[in-house]
Amino acid sequence: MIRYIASRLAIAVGLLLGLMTLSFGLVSLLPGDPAVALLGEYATPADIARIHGELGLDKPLWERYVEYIGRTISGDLGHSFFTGSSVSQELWTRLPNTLVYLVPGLILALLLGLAMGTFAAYRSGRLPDKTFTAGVSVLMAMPEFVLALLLLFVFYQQLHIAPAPLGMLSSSDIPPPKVTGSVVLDAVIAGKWKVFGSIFSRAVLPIVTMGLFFAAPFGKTVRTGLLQILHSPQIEFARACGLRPFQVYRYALSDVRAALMTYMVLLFAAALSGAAIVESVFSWPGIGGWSLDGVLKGDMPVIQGFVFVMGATSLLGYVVLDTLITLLDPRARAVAIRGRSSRSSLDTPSLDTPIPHQ
Amino acid sequence: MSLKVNDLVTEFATRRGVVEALHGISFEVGENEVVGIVGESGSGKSTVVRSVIRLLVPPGRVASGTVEFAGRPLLELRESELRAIRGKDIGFIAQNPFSALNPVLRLEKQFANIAKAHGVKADDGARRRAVDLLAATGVSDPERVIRGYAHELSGGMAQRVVIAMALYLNPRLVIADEPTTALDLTVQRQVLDTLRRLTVESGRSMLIVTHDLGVVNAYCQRVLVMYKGSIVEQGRVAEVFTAPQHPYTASLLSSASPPIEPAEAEVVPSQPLEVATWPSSK
Repeated sequence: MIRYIASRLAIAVGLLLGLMTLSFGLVSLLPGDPAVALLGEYATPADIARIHGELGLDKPLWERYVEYIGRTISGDLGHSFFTGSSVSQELWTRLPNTLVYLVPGLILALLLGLAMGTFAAYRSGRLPDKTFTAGVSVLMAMPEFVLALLLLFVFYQQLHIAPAPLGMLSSSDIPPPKVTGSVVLDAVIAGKWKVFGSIFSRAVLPIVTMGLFFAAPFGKTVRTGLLQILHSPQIEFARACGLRPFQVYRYALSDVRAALMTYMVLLFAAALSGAAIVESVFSWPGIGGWSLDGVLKGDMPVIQGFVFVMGATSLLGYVVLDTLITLLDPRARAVAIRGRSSRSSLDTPSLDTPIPHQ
Repeated sequence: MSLKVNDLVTEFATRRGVVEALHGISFEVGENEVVGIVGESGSGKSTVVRSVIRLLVPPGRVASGTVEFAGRPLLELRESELRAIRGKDIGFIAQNPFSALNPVLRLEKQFANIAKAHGVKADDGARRRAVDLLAATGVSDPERVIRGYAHELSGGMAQRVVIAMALYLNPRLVIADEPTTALDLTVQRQVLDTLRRLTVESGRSMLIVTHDLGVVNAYCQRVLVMYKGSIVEQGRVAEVFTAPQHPYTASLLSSASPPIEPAEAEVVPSQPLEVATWPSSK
């Protein structure tokens, strides 16, 4: 098993290198000169040359590439061309802010999807199922920001339950002492649960937005998967053995598990790179708004850093997913551990093979 | 009378309207009797057994008729009451063991789940009973098999596990849906012999669906011949096979290869095979 996990990790390292190359290549080959962006259109050639020198853009591509790889491996993602702040530091501060609403949001989506998909599958073809299908279509057709604005309209504007969409902390909250730079982590470290609670209450609407938005694909996956397995011989046999409905459901769910986990990672990656939309609605100081800003300005190190970290996070997610799915399924596990099919280990010599002619 | 089915009508709702799959089926399975259902694919054999223990899933449904088992009207029971009967009083043997067994649970866990579902404590005694039953069905090294998964077994072994699960809580009636169709020819006979030993010779009744007339001839006392959703003929095997009344039965018999010899067909006595002496094929 250790060998299997090690081989997964080796593949991951290789892919990471590829990802670094890609994030460097894509951004370096993009049209547009950051020096022009910095100085404006009327900059003199001398000024542009000076900026190129400062940013290291006058060196040949391969030299910049080697330098980039070296720096990235040592954890330095460079500095923003415009603000001069460290990209790694920015990511480290902002990523937890994004995760604080994104992870609960996805879990909420999973639970909602599971509930809706199960209900639809068990009432297939009837009113609840049709309502579900219609609901999913509506949810899927609705852009995230519309959903977010709708929620704000109802819960902030009309009902006054939710706090104003003005970021993570209210003006009355005292920020926790700086340890990591990330307000969320610092609040936890300092044990400032009031601040953490305040952050969380502000995160509720973004979480619900995420939950509703991503519940649709989860629900669809659950419904399709369950419908298929509920008609399968496996479930028929489980029912014929008199298993309780909930146990039968658990048998069925174990079949859908892998698909759900795959979706979780896929949507996590998608949500992370699409965080800008929700974050601009709620003025959330996460990575979304920051990266969007970087992209619009052509801030190369920011784009590179963002692409690399998002890619690496997704990659890590996929590796963990792949390993988990393999280890959770005894069939795949046996193959992965022994490197071959485990059949024959328990087989009696030839009960199923024709008796050889003497 | 163990099982009594009267005027059973099953239908499937399709896009083009309701299709009747069974047109009023009536038959009985007596105490300690083995009854075979034969017929071609699509004749409704499997639908009969699924209708009897209400395993049908939408769009299929039983439209009318009665099913009586040990004096209880199966079609009128609540789902929870029926669930208590399934697996406990009526055992079900599926066609393909690999698609019937749970692929991600250890077999011992699956046995335990069946026990718990019927309020039987899944303790050491219950586990020992499962191991003994596996041994009785001819599973070699049952202690090891029960700790493993379905995919580690050969087809014949897996089907023995399914049989053991169906018999686990000592049912009075066993319903077998083509129990050997998915198996190699050489294993079919062993599994059927095991099945007979554990059902009829232990005082149970069995309803067995098959398209193999040889199986009916060798293992059943009575036979139902199905054709397009109706029973066209039923009776004692020897009588039906010697003097078929319905033309479909006659054509079914004549198409069997080799033709079924009526009357006392030779029955090979069940013989435990000495596995260890077999040359390995690997």
